[in-house]
Amino acid sequence: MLIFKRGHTHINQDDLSEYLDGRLSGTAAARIDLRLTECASCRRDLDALRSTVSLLQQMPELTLPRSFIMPGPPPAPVALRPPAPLRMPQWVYSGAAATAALVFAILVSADATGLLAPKLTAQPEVTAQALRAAPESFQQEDRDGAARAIEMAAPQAPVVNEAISAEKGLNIAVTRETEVAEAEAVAPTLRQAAVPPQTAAKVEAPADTSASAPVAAMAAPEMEKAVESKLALPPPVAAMATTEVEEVATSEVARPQPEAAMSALAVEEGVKAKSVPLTPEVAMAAAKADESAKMKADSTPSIIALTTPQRPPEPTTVAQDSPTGIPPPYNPINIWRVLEGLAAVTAVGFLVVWILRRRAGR
Amino acid sequence: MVSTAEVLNCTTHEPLPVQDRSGATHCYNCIIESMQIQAYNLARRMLEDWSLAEDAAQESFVSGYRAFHQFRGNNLKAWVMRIVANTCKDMLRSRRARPTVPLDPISSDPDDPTAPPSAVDLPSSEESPEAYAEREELARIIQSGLASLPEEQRLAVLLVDVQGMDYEEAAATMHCSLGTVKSRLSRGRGRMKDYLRNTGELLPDLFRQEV
Repeated sequence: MLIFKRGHTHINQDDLSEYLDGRLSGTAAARIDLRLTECASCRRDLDALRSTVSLLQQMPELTLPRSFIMPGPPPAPVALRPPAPLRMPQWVYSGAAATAALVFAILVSADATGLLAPKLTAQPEVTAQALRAAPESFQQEDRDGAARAIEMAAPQAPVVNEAISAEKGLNIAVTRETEVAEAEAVAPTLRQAAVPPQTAAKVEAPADTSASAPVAAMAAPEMEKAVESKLALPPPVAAMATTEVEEVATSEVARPQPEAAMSALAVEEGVKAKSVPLTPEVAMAAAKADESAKMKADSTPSIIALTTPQRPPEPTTVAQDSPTGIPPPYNPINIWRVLEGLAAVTAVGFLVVWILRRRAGR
Repeated sequence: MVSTAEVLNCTTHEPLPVQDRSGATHCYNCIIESMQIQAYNLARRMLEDWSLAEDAAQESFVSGYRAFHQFRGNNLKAWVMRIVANTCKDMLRSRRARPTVPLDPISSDPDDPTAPPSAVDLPSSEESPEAYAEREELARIIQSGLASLPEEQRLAVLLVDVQGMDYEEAAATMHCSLGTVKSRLSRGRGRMKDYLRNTGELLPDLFRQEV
């Protein structure tokens, strides 16, 4: 078939096709002519091509099944396709899903490694921020109250400790805050807890700090237990409990001793009223109580630390606990949780849209 | 193309006035009338499953009506055929995404290279039914040969060889350069040539006659 003639190359298909259509210029056409005369294979190729083209050209024209003349303007297009924002290319959806999943994974792993947990050293700042958020007048008033409380607290350290130990009972009540009936059931124990301050005060009636020291030392383990049990609770509940107890402590300290029992009853009422959702006023009260608690924590240990060496851990535990008094929306760890949730929902959402688009495109 | 006055005087159909980009008024039904055979033929040759061709032609004319304000007023045939070609491509694409069983049986074609020469092969059949059968057979082979071409090459072959367009018109229709038309056409023709050479029982005969 092939002609092995030196220097001969077969005419390429494009040239042959153009030659057949008579679209080559004079010199190019003459070159093709020359090659065709000397190469039988090229001639056969051209003939085959010509036959093919002529067969194609002879294809019968098909008759119309019907006329496409329109009786009138066609109706406006029906929007079968979803609107433009939902019709992105598929890679947009898969990419968005992947990105959101990546963000979610990073957040979760950062959270799991404790990167997002608030550091102990950072907590006073957090508290300070929350306090700054409160109105100035409120803080001022609170400071006055706290100062008075400290003055009163100095001779009455045992009473304060006893009041804080009452916290345990109160915490139990707070964990069941949704059930008022149960809170009432716990109330008797509160009353019982409220009696010791009176008795303790009768027995001690302290005149100076050195006299009150032994009692304070006795109360210390109890107090620590109370703080521990508080820590074991979920943060929001612990926060509520703290504010509540702090209020009780402040009020008991600020008032004369005989009124302590009455204020314990007031706590009971407060427990009943606890089912009321967290309002801005409650948040303010929490901040206020927090302040006074901090002041107390600063003042009372300084009194007790003179005689009891085992007390120093106490301020740190109290300080650690105080940021939980910040209402949940200000707590930074919750923001991360919300972000994690958002990332997860976004990832799943885009994944679903992507899958739906893939199925629709098929 | 008709003037406004002629639009109002359309007798064979309802006048359907449309305005091109320059604001000139045309009767769209006149355009359909002049183009519909070519449009339908192109659609039918493009779509292997030619039962869709009617839909394709209809859809092309509807989208042409809606897009007519973009028409610049020159080379109406290329403009209409481009819409038809694009509609066909869309249909092919969507059918590739959702494959269906073709309605027309092309059972005898794929095994042709190995099949023994059939009775149609016999020469000198001057009877019209047999000649008709041969023509039908040939047309069917050519159609399946076209169907075996890549989409763009098939379009080039159809436009130039079947529809009789020149290269420039085909380039305007396919929205590509002249060189692209040339290469697509020559490759399409080459493939068709190979296909017919391998497939058709009638073809060696024809080739010999041509030679």
